[in-house]
Amino acid sequence: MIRQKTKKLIEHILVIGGNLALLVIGIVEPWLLIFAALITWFLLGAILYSMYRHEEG
Amino acid sequence: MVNISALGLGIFFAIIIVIAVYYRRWAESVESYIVAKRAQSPWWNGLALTATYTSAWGILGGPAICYVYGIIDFVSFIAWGAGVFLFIWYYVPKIRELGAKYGAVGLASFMELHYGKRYVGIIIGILGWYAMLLYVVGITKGIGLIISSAMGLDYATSVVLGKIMALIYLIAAGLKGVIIVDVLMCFMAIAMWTACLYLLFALGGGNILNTVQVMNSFDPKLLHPTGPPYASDPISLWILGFITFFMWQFLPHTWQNYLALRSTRKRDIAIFAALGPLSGALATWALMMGAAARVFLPYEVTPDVVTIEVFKYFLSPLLPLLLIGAFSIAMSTADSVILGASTDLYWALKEVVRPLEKKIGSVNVVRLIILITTILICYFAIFYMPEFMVYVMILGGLGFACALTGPTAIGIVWGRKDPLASVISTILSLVISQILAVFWNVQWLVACFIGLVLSVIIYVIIATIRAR
Repeated sequence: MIRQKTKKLIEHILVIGGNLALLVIGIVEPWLLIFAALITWFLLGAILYSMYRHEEG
Repeated sequence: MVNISALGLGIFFAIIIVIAVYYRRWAESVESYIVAKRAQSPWWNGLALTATYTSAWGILGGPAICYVYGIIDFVSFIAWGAGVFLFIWYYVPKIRELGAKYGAVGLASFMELHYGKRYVGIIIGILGWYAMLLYVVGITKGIGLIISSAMGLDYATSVVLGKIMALIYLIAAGLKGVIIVDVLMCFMAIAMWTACLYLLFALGGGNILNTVQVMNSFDPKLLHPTGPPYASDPISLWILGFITFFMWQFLPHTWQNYLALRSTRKRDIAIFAALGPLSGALATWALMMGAAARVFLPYEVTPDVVTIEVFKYFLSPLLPLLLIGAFSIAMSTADSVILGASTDLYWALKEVVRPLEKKIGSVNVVRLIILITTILICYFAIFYMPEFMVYVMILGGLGFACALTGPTAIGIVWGRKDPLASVISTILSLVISQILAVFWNVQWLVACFIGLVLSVIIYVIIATIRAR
C-alpha cells in the first residue's frame, strides 16, 4: 500500500514537474525548447510506461 | 517544383482511396463508425491525435508571429503541448472510462449522458458544431491555397478538391479511416519539420548554436521580446497560455480519439501522452524559421508566407516537401473537426433525424450530416461568411473551450453533477468573455482566460446552491 502511494507520488512529481520545467526553460532561454520539449515528453512517456508496464488490464 | 508537389498530392489521393475501400467495413454501426469500436492502439491513436492537433498555424501562422515579434510564440506551442500531456495523463482515462460506461460517441453525447439531461446534449452539441464550423472554414481556406499553389488550380476548385479528398475516407470508414490517414499525414508533417531543422543547422554552417548566436547578436530582443501585442511580462504570459491552452483539449474534434482508445491502462496512456504533444515540440522548428528570417533574409516578406520565403531563398529543392507537409497538417485537422462537429450535431438533432434514421440507418444519417457540414464549409471558404456569424463566436474554438471549463474540467471530476449549472456557466461565460473582447478591447487570450474563470465560478456557485 505504501509502495503504491509512493509510486503515485513519484508519478505526479514526474508529470507535473517535467512540464513545469519546460515552462521555466521557456522563460529563461526559449530557443532551448526546440529540443527540450521533444526530449522531455518522450522521456516522461518512456519512464511512465516502464513504471506501469506490468499493470494488469 | 510544381510538378513534384502535384505528383505528391496525386499519390496521396490514390492512397486514401485504397484506405477508404479497405476500411469501409468499419462503418457497420454508429459506435464503430464514430469511435472505431473503442479499440484503437495508443500508437496509432497518438500519432493521429498529434496530426489532428496541428493546423496550418504550426507552419504558417506561428512563424509569421515569430517573424514580426520574435520567438515569443513558443509560449502558445509549448504551453499547449504541456497542457496536452497533463490532460491526457489526468483526464483522458476518466473520459475514456466514463465514455464507455455511458456509450458516448462525442463531446455532446458524453455531456448529456454525464449530466442526465437532454437539453445539455442539444445546447453543447449545437454550440460545439458552430464553434468548430468557424474553425474549419479557416483551415479549409489554407488547404485551398496550398493545393492551388502546388497544382496550379484556381482557388475554388482547390477548396472543393481538398474537401472531396477528406470526404472519401471520412464517409467510407469514419474514425478508423481518419486515424489511418492522419498517421500517414503525421509522417509527412514530420518530414516537413525535419527539413526546417536541417535548414536551421545549415544557416549556422552545420551548427545550430551558431544560428542562434548570430540571431542573438543581431537583436537580443528577437529571442526575448517584451511589450505588446503579447505581454510585457513573459512569466504571466506563460502561466496564462498554459492554463488557457489546457482547455483546448476539451473541444469536440479530439473526443473521438480519447473515446476510441483501447484501454485506460497506464502504459497505454503513457504512450498516448508522449505522442499527443509531438506536434507542439516539432512545430518549434518551423517557428524558428520566422525568427531566422529576420536575420538571414535580406528582404522584407509578407509574414504569412515567411516559411515558404525562407525555403525559396535558402533551400528551394525542399519547397515541395514543405507544401505537402503543410497540406497534410491542414487536412488532418479538417477531417477530425468535421467528424467531431458532425457527430455533435447528429446528437443534438437526434429527435429531428429519427424518421430518416429508420429509413436509411444511423450511420448514413451521420454521413449525410458530414456531407451537409462539408458543403457549408466549402461555401463559406469560397464565398464569404456573414460577419454576424463570426461575431457570435468571435473568440473562436479557444473561447468556447474556455467557456466549457466548468462543466468539463470541473464537472467530470467533481461529485456534484448539475445539468443546469453546466449550460448556464457555458453560455454566460461565453457571452461575457466575448462582450469583453468586442466592446472593451480586452486582449483575446485574457478574454478567454476570464471566460474560463467565470465558467468555473458560475458552475461551482449554481451547483452548490442547487445541491442545498
